[in-house]
Amino acid sequence: MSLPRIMVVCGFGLGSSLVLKMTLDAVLLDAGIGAETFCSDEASAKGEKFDLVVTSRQFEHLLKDCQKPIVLIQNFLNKDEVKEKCLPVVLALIK
Amino acid sequence: MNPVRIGDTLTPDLIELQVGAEDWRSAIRSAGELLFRGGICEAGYIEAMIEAVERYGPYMVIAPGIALVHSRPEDGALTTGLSLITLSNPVDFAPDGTSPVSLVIALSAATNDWHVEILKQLAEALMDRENRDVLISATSKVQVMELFSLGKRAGKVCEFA
Repeated sequence: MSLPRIMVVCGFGLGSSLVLKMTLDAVLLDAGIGAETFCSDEASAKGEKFDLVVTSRQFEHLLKDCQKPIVLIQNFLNKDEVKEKCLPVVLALIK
Repeated sequence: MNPVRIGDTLTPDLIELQVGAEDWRSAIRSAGELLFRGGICEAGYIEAMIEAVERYGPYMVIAPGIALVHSRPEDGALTTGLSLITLSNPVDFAPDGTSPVSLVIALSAATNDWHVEILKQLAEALMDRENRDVLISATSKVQVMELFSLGKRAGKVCEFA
């Protein structure tokens, strides 16, 4: 199957989400999982195609109707938190 | 040529340590002021950063104690760069007291792409707890610059190809 598309969302799609995407990329690399990760901002996130959203709780409401899994992260620099919360969801996607 | 390492761009005039800020707005203003004085952003960019937090909440607190504040390129980012301040007393970015911040990094990202490279280095440095502690308790700007400069702590500040 094609690689899962993981969208990382923040307000502008160029600061916080980029940092979180880097942490996520590192976690995926460590786990040997291939995925397409990209950043989006709150205005355009809804129009994107994705299989999973990773963001902070402030943006959850924007995507509550997306019918895709949403993972909420508190500490964008914490690989352990990102790993614990994201990996099970990503693994379920590619199963 | 654009600098591609934080150590090249984070000069002493873009660092201020143990700033006394009364609230998160004044903390952002202090960090933004450094960008403005450095010719990196327009004055309006500072208020745009504050409005971003007002609008979206404290999500720019990317890790406990650390805020990465910024706005859109079109809000007055003249070039790409960052400033860094530490606070003598933490200020809270959330009304409910859940986001105390001691380190504020203000980012101006112009339309070019090398802010990606800078954020990579920043994230890599800040992922290390020891580095975070050094930054938050730094008493000299040299300590901050050394942490981000290639060679001094190259094992900590990861290298990217």
